[in-house]
Amino acid sequence: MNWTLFHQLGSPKWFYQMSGRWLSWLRWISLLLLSTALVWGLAFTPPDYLQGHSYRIIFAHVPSSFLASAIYMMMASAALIFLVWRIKLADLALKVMAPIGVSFCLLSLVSGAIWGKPTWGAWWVWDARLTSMLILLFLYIGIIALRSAIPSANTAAKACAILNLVGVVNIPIIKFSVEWWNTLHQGSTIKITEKSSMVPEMLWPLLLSIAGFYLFFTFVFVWRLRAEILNSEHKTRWVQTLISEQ
Amino acid sequence: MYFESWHDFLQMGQHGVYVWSVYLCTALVIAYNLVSPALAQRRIMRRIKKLQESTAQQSMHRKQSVQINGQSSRDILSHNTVVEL
Repeated sequence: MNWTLFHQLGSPKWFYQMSGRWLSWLRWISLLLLSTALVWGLAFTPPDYLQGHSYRIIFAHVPSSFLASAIYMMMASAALIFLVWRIKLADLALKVMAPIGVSFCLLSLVSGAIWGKPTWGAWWVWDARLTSMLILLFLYIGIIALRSAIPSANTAAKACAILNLVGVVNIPIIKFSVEWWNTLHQGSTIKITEKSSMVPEMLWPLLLSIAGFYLFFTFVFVWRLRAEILNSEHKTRWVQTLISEQ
Repeated sequence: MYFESWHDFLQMGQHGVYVWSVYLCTALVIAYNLVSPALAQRRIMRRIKKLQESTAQQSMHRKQSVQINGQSSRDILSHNTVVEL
């Protein structure tokens, strides 16, 4: 196996120089996709025969919920890379992903609660899917709090990575909660292996919205990671020249 | 557009409040994710610049003090001692 790319990616300087080119593309494409998908879902799709117009919440709820668990898994991969190979960039990635994860997890919970009111008649029920999602939010907040509570940066990084990996247990629980337990929350509408139970007029804007949310996350992540690289590498010569040239 | 009028669009058949508040929350989350990294970047840049300035000042002070010390020590030391700065 060729490890060159792996180590290049692990070098903060290389990543900083490469990612500068990606950033503006990511910004405009993700914002364009997001706004198109949200306006499409909001104004140009037919209402649901059962839920009426309230189902339009799906275009924000489903992508943010996907992202909330996906970001957690990405953080867990970064945590593993950090613990095994001691790649510093992986720890920086873990650090900058956490606040983005919190924001999307919150959006998922709040949009779900608002959707629950007209559909189930309650803002909140202690159901398996909702509870496991709330635990995910606490895990995110726990990881952020743990880092700021430990003064030694290296110990904090290790502790966060370990907490992150332990919390992975929660991810399959979120995923299968609607199948394992009797729940109010509906099963998934989009399926990869079989035909989705959604008409194309609703499915396309939803898929577009998911793509937009993922790209937007990538953009924010790269942006934050670049700033964090400057922060942690500020003593190196390349950062010094970069800053003094500005 | 699916809706007949702007009024319909805002009302969404009794569900307007729910749908629009979710879209507002989405806008807030997107705004947070645009503002927060920008602020973080600015804070970090400023911090590094400040550090750079303070180290530049320190090294200037050090140079000056070395010059003074050099001068005085040169007086004490023999004539051919070269003090490298």
